[in-house]
Amino acid sequence: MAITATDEEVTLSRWLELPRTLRSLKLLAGVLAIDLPLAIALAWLTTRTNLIGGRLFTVLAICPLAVPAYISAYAFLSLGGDNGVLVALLGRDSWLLETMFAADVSGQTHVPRMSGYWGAVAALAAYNMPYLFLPVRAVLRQLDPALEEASYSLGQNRWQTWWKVVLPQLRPAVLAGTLIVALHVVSDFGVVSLMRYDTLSAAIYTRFLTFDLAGAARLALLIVTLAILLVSGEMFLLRNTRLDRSAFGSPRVASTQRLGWWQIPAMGFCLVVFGLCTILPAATSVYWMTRLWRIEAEVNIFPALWGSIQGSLPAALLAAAWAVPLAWLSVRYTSRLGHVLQRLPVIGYAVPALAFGLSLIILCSADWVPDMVYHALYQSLPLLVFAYTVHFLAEAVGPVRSSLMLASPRLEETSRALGRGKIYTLSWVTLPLLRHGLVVAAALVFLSCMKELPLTMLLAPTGMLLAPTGMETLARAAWDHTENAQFAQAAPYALTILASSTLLVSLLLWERRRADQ
Amino acid sequence: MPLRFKVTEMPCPHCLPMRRILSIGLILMLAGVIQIGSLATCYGQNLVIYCGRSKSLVEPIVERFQKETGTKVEVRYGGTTQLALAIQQEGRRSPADLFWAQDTGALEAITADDLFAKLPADFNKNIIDRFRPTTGTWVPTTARARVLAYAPARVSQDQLPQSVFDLTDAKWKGRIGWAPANASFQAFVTAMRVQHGEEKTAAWLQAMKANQAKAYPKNTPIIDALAAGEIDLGLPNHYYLLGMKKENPNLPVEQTLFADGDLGNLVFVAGIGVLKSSRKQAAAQKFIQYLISNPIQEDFTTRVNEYPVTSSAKPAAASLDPQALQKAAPDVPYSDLEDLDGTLKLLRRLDLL
Repeated sequence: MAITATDEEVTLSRWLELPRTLRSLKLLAGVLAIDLPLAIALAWLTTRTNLIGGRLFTVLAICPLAVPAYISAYAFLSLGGDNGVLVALLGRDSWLLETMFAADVSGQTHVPRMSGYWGAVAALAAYNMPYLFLPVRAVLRQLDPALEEASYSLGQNRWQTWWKVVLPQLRPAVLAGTLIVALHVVSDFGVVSLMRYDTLSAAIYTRFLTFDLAGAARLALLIVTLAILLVSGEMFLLRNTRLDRSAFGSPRVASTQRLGWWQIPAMGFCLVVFGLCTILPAATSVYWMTRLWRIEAEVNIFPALWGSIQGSLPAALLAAAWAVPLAWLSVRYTSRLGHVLQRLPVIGYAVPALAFGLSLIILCSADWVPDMVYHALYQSLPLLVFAYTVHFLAEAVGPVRSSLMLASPRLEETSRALGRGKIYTLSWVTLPLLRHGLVVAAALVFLSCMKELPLTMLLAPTGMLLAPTGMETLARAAWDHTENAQFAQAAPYALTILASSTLLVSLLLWERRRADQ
Repeated sequence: MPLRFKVTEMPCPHCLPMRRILSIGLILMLAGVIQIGSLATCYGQNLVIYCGRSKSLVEPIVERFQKETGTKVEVRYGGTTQLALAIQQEGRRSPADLFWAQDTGALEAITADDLFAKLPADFNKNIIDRFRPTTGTWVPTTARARVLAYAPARVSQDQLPQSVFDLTDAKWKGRIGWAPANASFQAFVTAMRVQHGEEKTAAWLQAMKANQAKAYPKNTPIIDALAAGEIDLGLPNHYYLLGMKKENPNLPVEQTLFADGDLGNLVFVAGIGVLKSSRKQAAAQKFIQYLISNPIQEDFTTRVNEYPVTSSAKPAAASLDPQALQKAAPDVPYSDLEDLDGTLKLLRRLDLL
């Protein structure tokens, strides 16, 4: 069967891009196989045990969220190679490297870089780990230990209890996280192109680069289809799940597991994981920074920092607010419509940002839009915030939904029975119960906006105060320099994203701890 | 286990959080008012440039221009293609007055959509003949050359290939890096089609593919890969390595030209044009003239290591003298490189894109 397109003959198998689709799926399988066990193990270690430095590890675990994906890829690339970190640490003629790797044409040991499939898997796994870790951790903290105690009292041992009682309760959080990771992996461009692994999303950007909008749209449609399949899978696996407490009173805080001698391997494990996920990209940026003195460059990060916050903060708050009704509909009213509505944001998330930004431009520039509306709206801050919010809303729904599933409807019913109205109950009973979920949702969206590139470049507002030559953001400035291989000048911006995001996350955790006491 | 009851005084639910919500709302509203106020003062007065070139290069020039002429300039930085796509969609209402592109494929796309204004003929009079575009809708700003980058540790001077056609030799199997998605590489393929015909070009591309040339997303990763020992030869533009060596002088990568007149030494340009929809045609043209004035052309050669496009500019380094480049460059007039579309079709047919 042949469909004749504008410029190339397109057969059905070519239309479906089977090899690229399969590569995207293979990548996804690899990333999940690494991230799922790691994230669950880390979440358990940091919430349910007396692991030394658990709080520090939690902050470290969230840091990769603040690293733009392409920087994470550069960091993994810089590990190997004849001028890489391994060679710098061990020396090129060390026996370890000589025995591990073959020599090149000049007779010296050649240390290969991570690239292709495994390189992409490693970089994406490190980059996406927090999206699973955070929701799982949030649920583990809130679990009612009574269920586990009941399991022990029925003669189940620790492992059986873990498999049969704890893990099923983690299911919504794990699935929500998995969905986000999956969408990242199938729509990622920065990592796969640098690792030279040709997936669907890589092909989309190539189409855009070569002005083939029709081809890009066709590929984007494939990704959206893939996303819809993933969402349907999630819906299927979550059907008939109810996790709220049915017992009276409020749950106790779960007791912590004493690690004893296990403390050492547990800490070692955390250190290795965080070394790769967080410290590697951070250290790479710091190393770039050390070369800054060599060139005379003025770096003023403040306009970029201000620009980043201006767009990201309102979007984060708005996304968290929008997530509440969506999560509410799907959890409290188990109608099919609610389930579908709640998953709608996933489509906005799966459409590659470049395509999303362009479609907003097309919409604003349409002939039927009056000039006045166009000038007021186009390239204004509200439009950018709107774009961020719609694009990243899917990240906010998961945590809010997980919190809502754990909140007993009985409390709301009590409030209504005591004569309070719907709005009162929502504001003073439900929302406080969702607080942790809302905070996580806002934080996730904020960090995503901070490192966002294509939407910012296409839609950044003009005529802004304090930005006379146009709005600048940290992510864009860092990208601008890496594009010209000015890594030293990119470093301050990359490190500022990392530092400001880490600061924010630590504040949130601290605030949470205070609220608990 | 002792029973614990937690009894806390509930604060009045109406006052505390409400006050917090109100104060946040007030701050946001204030910020909004300030933004709208600043929008009203700025809107429509600034010269707006959509710029596909990097900010670190453009900003000092823009600042100099503002200081010298008093014209306020606002720049939207982004990828060249992204901005071109945005301009195409914005159409007659585009906020942009000027579009400054990294490569000519994008400039020709805007020209084809009839969105560029025709520039006065005397704009091109200082431009070196071979860089002059035929359409008259844009003006070149700098010139660059395609080069052969290599790792001196693994390829000695006398082993270096003299022509791009030598790269298909079996001894280079798996040792070459290229960037088929990159606009400069595509200009090179167009030149090959012009000079050697469709068939020979397709054969060369296929032979390169069979020789396991590694595809990188753009130029700088090619040089990174050379330094890392992943490849031994690469086909980038000339200025990336020069810029990278400023940061890291010990980079174990060198570059050279192929034999005189070989296609591998193709010279091409970046350029800028005024949009038809602009209501500040005069100011926009003044900016272009500023870019091709001698001091700015010379500034380009020192800061970005690119070649000037005017014959009157004195480049900082003798190696960046455009006259010296003339001898090495292949004899393909710049105006013949306009069929990007045919090149893209060919690359797609061979599954290189």
